[in-house]
Amino acid sequence: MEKLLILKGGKIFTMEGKPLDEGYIIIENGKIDDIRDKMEIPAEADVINAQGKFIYPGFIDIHVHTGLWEEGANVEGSDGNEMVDPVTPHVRAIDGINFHDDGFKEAISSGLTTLNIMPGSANVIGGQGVIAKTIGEIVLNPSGIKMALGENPKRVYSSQKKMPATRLGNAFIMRKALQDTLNYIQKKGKDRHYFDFKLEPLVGLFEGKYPAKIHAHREDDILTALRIMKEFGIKFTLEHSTEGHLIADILAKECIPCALGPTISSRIKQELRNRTIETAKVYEEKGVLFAFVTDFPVIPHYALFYSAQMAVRRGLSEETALKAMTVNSAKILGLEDRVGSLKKGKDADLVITDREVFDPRFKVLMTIINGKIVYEHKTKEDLFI
Amino acid sequence: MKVIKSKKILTMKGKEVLEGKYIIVENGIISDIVSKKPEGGEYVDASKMIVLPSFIDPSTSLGLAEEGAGFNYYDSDESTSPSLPQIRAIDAFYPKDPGIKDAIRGGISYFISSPGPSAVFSGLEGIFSVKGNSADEMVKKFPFALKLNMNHSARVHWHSQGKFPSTKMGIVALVREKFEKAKYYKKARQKETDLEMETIVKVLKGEIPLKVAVNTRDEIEKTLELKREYGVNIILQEAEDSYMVADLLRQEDIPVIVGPYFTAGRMYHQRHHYAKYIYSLYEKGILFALTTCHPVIPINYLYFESVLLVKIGIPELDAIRSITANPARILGMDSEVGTVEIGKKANLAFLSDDLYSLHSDVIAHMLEGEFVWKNF
Repeated sequence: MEKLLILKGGKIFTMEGKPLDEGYIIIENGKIDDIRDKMEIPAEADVINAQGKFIYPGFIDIHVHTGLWEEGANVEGSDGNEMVDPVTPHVRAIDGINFHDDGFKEAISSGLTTLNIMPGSANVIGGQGVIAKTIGEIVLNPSGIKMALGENPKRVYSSQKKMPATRLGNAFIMRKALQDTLNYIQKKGKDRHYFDFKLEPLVGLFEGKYPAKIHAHREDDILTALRIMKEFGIKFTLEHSTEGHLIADILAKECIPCALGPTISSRIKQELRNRTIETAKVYEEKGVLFAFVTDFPVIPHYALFYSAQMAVRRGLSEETALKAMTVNSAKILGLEDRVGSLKKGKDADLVITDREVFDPRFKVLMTIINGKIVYEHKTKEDLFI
Repeated sequence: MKVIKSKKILTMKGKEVLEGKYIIVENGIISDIVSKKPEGGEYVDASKMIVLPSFIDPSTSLGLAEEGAGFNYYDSDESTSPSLPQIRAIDAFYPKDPGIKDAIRGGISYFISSPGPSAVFSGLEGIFSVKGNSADEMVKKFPFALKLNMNHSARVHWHSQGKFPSTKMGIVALVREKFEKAKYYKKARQKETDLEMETIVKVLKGEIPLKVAVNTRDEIEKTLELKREYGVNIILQEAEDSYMVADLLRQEDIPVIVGPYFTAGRMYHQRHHYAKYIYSLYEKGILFALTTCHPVIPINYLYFESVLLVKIGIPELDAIRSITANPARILGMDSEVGTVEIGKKANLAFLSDDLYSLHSDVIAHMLEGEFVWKNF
């Protein structure tokens, strides 16, 4: 038995109903044991005084490449895209991540505790993602199969004089890989020793073990994703969904979860032309389940909060904005039983800040993962800003 | 005449904050700042707002790389020769770049548009305003500076082309060669006009500064050596390692343009690209300004980017100074803009709430006495 850890005082955003003005969070064996209004603190417990501070569940980013594109490294630390074949479902993010990279330190010092780390979007089928705590603990592997439509695969492979050179090619390659997998499943049914290393990870999509995670910015690419996934009966999430506000009714009706962002990066590609900070507000109005993402290293992990702050300044409710970094993020990852809110039995992942996270000046004072203090702000040298 | 009632004015004159004053604007100029409401004029009720000088971004590709338009509209980087001092930002400036609308809404009134970064001498930069329908209407000063890329980007580009200069040695040799040639050109009695040399002569004569992109300490030191050798004026940019030579920069009075900081994915030479290192520039009293390098990060986030300086311990007024009064000084326009003072242009940003506070945002923007955006 580890010692009890008790957080005393502070405004607690449990994300399970209204915030509590003062209270006690009891942590035992890495889990939240209870949240109470009042209590007698046992003499043997460790106590963190959070009076006057703000306490949140550990923040979650459901679309990053942390550790795959390393900080302060050049091509030597660039492991995000296996850019030689547009179909690489057999490669796994978990095998390319450097968990000692500064990107993770930045994430921890920014209050992020759980990340869904995926291969990049150069390939139509890019590989397997992994969900990890920012301390390097693996939570779920694979978390899904990364796929991509739109400009990226087109650009990469047309320059190599290979398919896909167009959106026609993107869709064909995606459809063919899925059809090949169906054929493979059939063959396996007849010959149980038959094995295809490359297609095997796609079988999980048909078994509903994990979703496809489809990079799509433009409205037509989003609809292509929907068309193909419906054809094959595969569950999927939309990654980026930059033009999602234009077809939010469809996203809501079809219950497609969206990893939205990065919303504060520039429109460097044509397919980003209609990027607007107002997408989140439209999603809220239409009832689309979404979470903010940084797509690290496109923008830093801490810019997750700036994405939320901007959206709030353009009319998104603070409640939905907070959910889109915590409980809804967990829901989209299928991890709502473990992370995303402060509730008895969940992982003790917490963040203490000096101001509310919608105040651009706020600082993370402490990050706790699995009941252990993994970051404490002392001087500016501790920051990765 | 316009009469603007304010809650607070952050004048950017030292630490001055004026409460409840009226700003009087006539012919685009701040003609007075008074305590009592004068008779007449057009009344602007900003009594719930914080008024401060509008922002200046000293390093962007705005107008040269139209956002969301694709390759055919990227005209910022003429990467076909290592020495192109004679190319001019104003000749490719597209006034309908959607980033300019964003800039208006973000409270940015003036910005530098700069060609590069692949050529070593990558061309002439200009200062533009966000208001107008053509490059000629929007330009405030041209040329402002000659852009020199002593850093990683030029070297890597020429290395990938298998052409000179592909090392630091090569870059410095190219710079010296052009300077020496220009010295001779300046003295030569009979000559044909050479556009390349004419531009470099402007730098040697001190008519325009060199704006030098550097990353590492050795690149900064080498740049200072060239500055002393040829007596040219320099402004440093990017300059991640400038904190290591802060005393030297103070001694030689070198301004530094820092940022952008909403970035990750640093390469090796940018491994110190963190705002926290800027603190020592602030501490040593070095003149520095913050940039977005739009489109690296969108220009309208300049205000929110400056919050990062607050997070690393720089006082709020000094943080906001890095996007107002400081860039005005670096651009040599501090007699006209950068502070809220009588006689200066009425270039004003209006914040909905106290500086950097929970819900504060730019909600209106006045440029030379006219609202270019107003949401109250």
